[in-house]
Amino acid sequence: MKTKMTTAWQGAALVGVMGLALGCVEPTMSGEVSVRVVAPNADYSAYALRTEAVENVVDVHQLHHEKFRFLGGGMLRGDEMESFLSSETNPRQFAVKTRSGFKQSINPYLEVRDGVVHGKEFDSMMALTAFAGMAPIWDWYEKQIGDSSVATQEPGFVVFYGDIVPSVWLPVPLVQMDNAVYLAGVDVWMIFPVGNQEGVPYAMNRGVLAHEFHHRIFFQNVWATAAFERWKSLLSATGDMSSEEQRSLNLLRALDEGLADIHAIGYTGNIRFMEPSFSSEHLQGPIKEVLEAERIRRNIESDFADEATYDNLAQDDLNHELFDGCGLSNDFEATGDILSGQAWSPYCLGSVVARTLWDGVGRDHDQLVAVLLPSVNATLALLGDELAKNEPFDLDVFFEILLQVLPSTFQTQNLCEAIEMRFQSLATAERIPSCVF
Amino acid sequence: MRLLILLTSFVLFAASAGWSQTGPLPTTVAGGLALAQTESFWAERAPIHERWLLLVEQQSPWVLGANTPWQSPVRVGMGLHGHYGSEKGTLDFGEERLGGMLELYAAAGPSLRGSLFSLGGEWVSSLRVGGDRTVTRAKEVEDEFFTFHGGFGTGPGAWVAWNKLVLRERLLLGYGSKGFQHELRLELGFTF
Repeated sequence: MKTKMTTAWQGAALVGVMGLALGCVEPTMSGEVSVRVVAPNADYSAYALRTEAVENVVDVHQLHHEKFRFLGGGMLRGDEMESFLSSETNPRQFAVKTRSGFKQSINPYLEVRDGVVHGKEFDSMMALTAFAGMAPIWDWYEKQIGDSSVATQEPGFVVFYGDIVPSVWLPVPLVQMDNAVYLAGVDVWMIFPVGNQEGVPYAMNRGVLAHEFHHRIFFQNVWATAAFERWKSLLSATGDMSSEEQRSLNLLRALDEGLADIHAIGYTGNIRFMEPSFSSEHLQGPIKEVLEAERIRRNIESDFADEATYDNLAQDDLNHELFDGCGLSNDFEATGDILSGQAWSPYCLGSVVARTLWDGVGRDHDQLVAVLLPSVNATLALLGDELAKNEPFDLDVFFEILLQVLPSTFQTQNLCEAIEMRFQSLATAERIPSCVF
Repeated sequence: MRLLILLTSFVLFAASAGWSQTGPLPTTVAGGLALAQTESFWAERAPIHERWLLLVEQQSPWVLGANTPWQSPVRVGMGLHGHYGSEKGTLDFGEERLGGMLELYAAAGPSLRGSLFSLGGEWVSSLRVGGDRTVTRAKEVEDEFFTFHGGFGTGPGAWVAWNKLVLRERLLLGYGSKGFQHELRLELGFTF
């Protein structure tokens, strides 16, 4: 017995010494951890390497925070998603099943210098930067905006460089680069590698992270509650969806994008929060043109946002120099309504939604964060109840609920005027009775 | 276990039988390119990177399967590997990496000699140690890191030689400090 114990002890000591010699044994760094990451200046207009503190870390070596953790690569198969959509699952079961295809933990290459954690190469620096960015954004949504849904109360997951493949029979990844996304249903944020972009990679841009975070809030409040069955039927029906249902889906996507943008503006205090990722002296050729056009459409005080409305986008009446890039409508000739097309980009109308809310608070950032955005958050769950009725959706439904939720101290005149200007055909007493048009 | 002992005995016997090979033994100097892929911390889609090789290879007196149709002279070699990359990230936020490795390897395999060219197969096993210098950058601010790594690889190769000129391809599978790794090499050498 003594011999066995001695052998076991010696073995453990040997493994420990070897581990130390090879640099494999890393002390867990938890609590408040200092990290060296790409971080913004005070007004989120420029990014540089800075040292920041991240609170409530469980283990920085695995990018594990009390609220969220990072997962590694893996494959998300489209046909498996389809089969989950047609099965009887609740949102949590759906997420657990689809998420299981990813590596359940990662260990980026980190080095601790003078108590500060550094990423030893670019991919690790990007992962560590996104980790440091997510923590305060989570706090902001929970404490400042007052979200109490699954989105801020249940653990979150960030997939680093995962792949999406169309089918288990065709495991060729759809190339995904230059993006950070939230995958509704799977309930993960995904960070993709840098490809052709210049400037600040999207996953390092705090405004982009705040934008993506809001997609989780939108999904968990709007779709993952009473309207989950409608969400599943919408996704599984793509291709043979009625024009009316396609239109509802397009408008909800636009609302989702617009709310994500206005929350990112709320978080950063900068309406041009994406410019560090869209603008760079190194950009050239077609990619420069694409990003320049996107930069204008996503800026809610640009020429595009000044001119674009719900009606002139729908009827193709907007100057095409501003409009091009919003996407095609494959049935515009038949319906006379671009917003019912399958290839419609949700970002263009999303900017109209964001601009309406921005004008609705008199372009006052403090008012936006203190009053309007918390009310938008409270509106989302009620919107989910409306969607569960399976009736066609239009944006007046959202605005009417919001106007009812806003505190009585909020002056709604600006908001009603902005709705009338941007959504003229919806601005009637029957559709939005809380406004006097 | 018995099979392992049997195989080891056979190899040692075959090798000792050929130990007496005498006379000047050929040396090959080769350069080439390796396309290598190593697991990364996210496991999937680790990018393929290229390494440049410079190898010096000496035929040893050892011969496996001496005086048989499968006669396989054992060659031992030493190589230097170098790589440089700056493609990760954007031009403002990214990295530059410069690295090198020292390799020791052994290879053995049978060959056929024709009137115009010789043709051979081989099995290669290698051990490598090296390091990288990585500079991460965000605009004008840079941080510098040094990483040491090592590993081993083994796998098949094939070569064709026209007199003293040899063209060689090797596929090495292995494991190292960053996990599993594989690489495909193409080398052009000169034997004297």
